[in-house]
Amino acid sequence: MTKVIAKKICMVGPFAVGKTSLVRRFVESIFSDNYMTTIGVKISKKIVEANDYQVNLMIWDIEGVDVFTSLKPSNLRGAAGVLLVLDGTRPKSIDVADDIYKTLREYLPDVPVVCLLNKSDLDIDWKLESTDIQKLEASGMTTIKTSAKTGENVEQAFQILVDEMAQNSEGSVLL
Amino acid sequence: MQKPEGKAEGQQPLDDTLEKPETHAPHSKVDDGVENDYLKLRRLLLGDDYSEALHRYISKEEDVDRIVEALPRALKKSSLHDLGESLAPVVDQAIGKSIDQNPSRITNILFPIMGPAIRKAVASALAEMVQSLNTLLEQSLSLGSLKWRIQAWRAGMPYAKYILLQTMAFRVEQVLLVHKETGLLLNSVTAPEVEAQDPELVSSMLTAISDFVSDSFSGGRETLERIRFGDLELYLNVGPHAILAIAVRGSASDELFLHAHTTIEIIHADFAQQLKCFDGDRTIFEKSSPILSECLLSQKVSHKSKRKPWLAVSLIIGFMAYLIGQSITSWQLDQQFKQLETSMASETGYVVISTRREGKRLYVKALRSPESRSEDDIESSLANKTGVGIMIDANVVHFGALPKPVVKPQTNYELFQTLVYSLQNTTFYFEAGKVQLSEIELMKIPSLIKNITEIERLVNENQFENFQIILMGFADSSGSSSINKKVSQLRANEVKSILTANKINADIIVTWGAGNIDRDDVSEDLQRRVTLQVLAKPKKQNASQQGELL
Repeated sequence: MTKVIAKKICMVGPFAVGKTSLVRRFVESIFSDNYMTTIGVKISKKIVEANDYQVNLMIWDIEGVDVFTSLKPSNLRGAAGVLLVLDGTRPKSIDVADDIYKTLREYLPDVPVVCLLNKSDLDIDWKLESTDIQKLEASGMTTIKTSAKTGENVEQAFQILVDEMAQNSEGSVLL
Repeated sequence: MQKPEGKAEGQQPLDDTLEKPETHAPHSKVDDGVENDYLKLRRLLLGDDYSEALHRYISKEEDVDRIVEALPRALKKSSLHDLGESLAPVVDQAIGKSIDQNPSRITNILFPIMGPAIRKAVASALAEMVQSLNTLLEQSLSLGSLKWRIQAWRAGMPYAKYILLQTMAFRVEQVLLVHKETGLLLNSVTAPEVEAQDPELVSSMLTAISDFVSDSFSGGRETLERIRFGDLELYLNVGPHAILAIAVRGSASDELFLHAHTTIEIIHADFAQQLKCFDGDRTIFEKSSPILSECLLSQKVSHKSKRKPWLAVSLIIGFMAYLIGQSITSWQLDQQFKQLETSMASETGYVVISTRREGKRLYVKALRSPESRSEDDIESSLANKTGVGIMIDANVVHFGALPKPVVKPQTNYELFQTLVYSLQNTTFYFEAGKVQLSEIELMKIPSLIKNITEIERLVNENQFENFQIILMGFADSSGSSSINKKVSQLRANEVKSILTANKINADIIVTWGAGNIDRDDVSEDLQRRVTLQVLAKPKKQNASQQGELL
């Protein structure tokens, strides 16, 4: 029997970038065009494999950050990894990403952060330049283009995070 | 470096002061000159600095300054417990002295604190009293309380204690051990037959909610302790590293709270290291299952409520049986009364005037003839028959024998006379404009027929002859005289037709319409009528009396 471990990960990012949609695509393989804003936090569970371990991912889908709502540290507490979701069609969300990343590092200095550039299915409206992506990677994040609508790279994105979490905790007993 | 210096400084003058009193000592007078020289030498060597140092030493100014500087640091450094212990008697004494010297001061200080505190205590005590009174009323006035009283009596314990046990009915459905930092589930136990959500999701969500409430209302200082929805209540016992969440249906007892406290303490003691370094592997926490299972307390009282309908059903059935029984008895009573009434009515020599039912007794008011049975006789015989009492109040009246003395015609002539008299006194009245007899008037017909038949019998016995009945019709004043004549004739004919229909020989009846012939002051109702006139005479042997008859 493989060993079971539980991990908490957080989905953060500006509002309406598709955090909840990504979680739904990942957990339930469903996509819906209707936008319903998340208030507070919604928690889902998904079981993935990593290094012969069964990992029970508790995914905390945290409400979008905007001028009025800032990231609550209590929601981040104890997270083993973070998915920072951005909207590739909204270049402004890159600027917000900087602030969010700083806040993340303040409370979670060592956990891996994967940056998801979401809505990759909207080619025509894509606004992100390669320089933007380089800038993001320079700050220490892995970036990946995803689409909750088509499902492109969604599984991979979560897998990258889990793998990074595994590397991060190398030397410790688990993963 | 300062301390040794201070010591050196302090020591020098010390020697000096030790010597100083010697200068004033009586035995020092011997070498006064030597002493003076010594002082001079010292003054030369040390100068003004010496006297200044001496002055400072005596006034202790420097010591005070040093202590002022060192005391706060020293207090900080010393352990709180030791400090409290050593200060306690001093502070105690100081407060005591302060109160002794100026009691009003302490009163003024305490006043704003004591007021609200006392009010709060009184208010909470009152609220508690009202609450307990309410519960007591609810419990002592309900159906269940009677059952509880009996059960308490059977169990041999005081009623109050039994109530306490009953009201604390609850059941722990689920116990979750949650890692405080990550919100991840460490372990969970669920009571049998309880449908529970995925405990992993529940524990994470619980942490999120708890954090939300704590952040929103207390800035993260306080923790959420209770969540209540319907009759399910969540108790959160927050420890430094883990939260023990207990889902309870019903109202939990103090015993459970105490148990929860000890459980979270034991878990922290047993898994201190693992809780601190928790990295998602919860296999180690499976060992906590037995401790958590001990929290699955329950009291079975709540299950008894399912049987309640039976009590209500049997109560309703009992009530209905009582009602049916009551109606049967009242029906029986009614029958007995009726039986009594009929027997009273058929009692010879008694005429019942009124009866009245009261309870199980029938009151009868009656008239009785002297020959009839006495009231007591009837009362006892009827009471024995039915079981219902009877009270008879009867006045003795000589009515039973009265009809007998009625003058009976001694002879046929006298009988004939009576018959003719009653015949001629018969008058039929009509309604305005009508030529038919009304129902009431028709009632006069039978006796009339009987009388006529009787007369015919006498005639047939050849005692009387020339028998004839004249029916005379009359009309009221309204209408013309010809019409009145016609109407009066029709009225006479109507009576004749009725008589002939009743087998009276038509040959002996003569009719005549007189029209309106009455005086004006005779009422109209009386004017519309048919009268009878009889014509007959005794046969020759009775001729002497004929004149009197007609």
